[in-house]
Amino acid sequence: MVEPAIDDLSILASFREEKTREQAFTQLVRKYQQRLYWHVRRMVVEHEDANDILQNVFIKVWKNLSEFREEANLYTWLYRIATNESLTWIEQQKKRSSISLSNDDNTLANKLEAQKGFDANKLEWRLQQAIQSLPDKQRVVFNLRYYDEMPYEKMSEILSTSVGALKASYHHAVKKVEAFLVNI
Amino acid sequence: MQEQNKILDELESMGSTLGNISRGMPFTVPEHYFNELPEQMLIHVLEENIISDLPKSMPFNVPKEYFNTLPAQLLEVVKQNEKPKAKIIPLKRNLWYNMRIAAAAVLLLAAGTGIFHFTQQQNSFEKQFAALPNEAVKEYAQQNMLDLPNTNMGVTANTMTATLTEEEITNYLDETGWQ
Repeated sequence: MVEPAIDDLSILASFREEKTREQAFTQLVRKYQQRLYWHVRRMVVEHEDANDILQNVFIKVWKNLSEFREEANLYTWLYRIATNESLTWIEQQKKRSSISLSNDDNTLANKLEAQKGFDANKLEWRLQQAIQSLPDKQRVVFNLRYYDEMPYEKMSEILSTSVGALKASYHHAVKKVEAFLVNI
Repeated sequence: MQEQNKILDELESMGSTLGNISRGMPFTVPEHYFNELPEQMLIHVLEENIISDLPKSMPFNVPKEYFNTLPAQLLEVVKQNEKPKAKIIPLKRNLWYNMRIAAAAVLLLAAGTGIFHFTQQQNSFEKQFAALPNEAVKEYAQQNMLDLPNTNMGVTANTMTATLTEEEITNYLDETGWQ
C-alpha cells in the first residue's frame, strides 16, 4: 500500500482554506483510508459495517478538522475517532442482540465464519477467531500493537490509558490468543 | 521497521510464537474500493454540508395573535360540540337494587309461565272433551249415575221421562225386571 507523500501540516493548511478544502480532504482520505479501514475491519469483521463506520469517521473529520489543534498528532486523532466509532458500534450491536426476541446468531464470531473464503483449518482464520474471542478494548490493544505496530505511547494517546496498563493488556491478550490456538 | 523489530522481540520475550505467524489479513475487500472511497467521501460530506446549511426557519406567515387566541377558540368549539350526557347508572353501586329487580323479573316470569301452562291444560281438556263422541259420553254418564252426588243437576224424573217414548219406558221395565 503506497501512501501519497503529503505531510499532515500541509493537509491541515489546505483544509483551512475554503478554495482548497475539498482537495485537502480528498488527500487526507487517500492517505489514511487503508489504515483506518483495516483498524475498523479487524474490530467489526464485515466489510459493509466497516465501510459504514469508516464513512462516519471521515464525516466527523470533515466537520471537526478546522478546530484540530496542530500540536496534536493527526494520525493519533484519526485513530481515536475510528476506535471510538468502532467500539460504539459494537456496543449498539450488543444491545440490539440482547433486546431482540429472535435467536440472533449475528455475533462477530458468526460473522467471521460467514466471511468469504473462511477456513477454520487455516492459521490466519484461526488467529482471527482467537482475536475475536478477546474483550473489545483488549482486542483494540492487540490489533494496534500486533497489526499496526503502534508504539505504546501513541496507543496511550488514542485510548487515554497508561502505557503500563496497555502493556499488561497486550501481554494478557497474547497469552489468550495462544491458548485459543493451542486448544483448537 | 524499528517498531516491527521491537514487536517481534517483545513477542519472543513473552515466549510467544505469534511472531512466526503471517500477519496478512484473510478478509477480502471489494474491487476498486480504496480507489473510489475518497471521491465518494467528498460527495458525502458535501451533501451533509448542504443539508446542514439549509435554513431551519419556516417561511410561512402566521396571523397576528393566532397562538394567543387559539386556546380560547378551541374551548368554545369543544363546548358547542359537547352532547348532553346520558345518565349513567353504575352497576356496582346499585348491585342490591339490581338484584331485587332481577328477582321480581324471575318471579313474574315463573308466574306467567305457570298461568300459561295451566291455561294450556284447560284448553286442552275442553278440546279433548269436545272431541269425544256423544255415545261415549252418554254411556259413561249412565254407568256412573249412582256415583254422582244427589244434587239437583237440573234433571228430574219428570224431565227425563218427558223425553222418553212409552215404548222405551216399557222396554226398560222389561229389561230390569220391573214388569
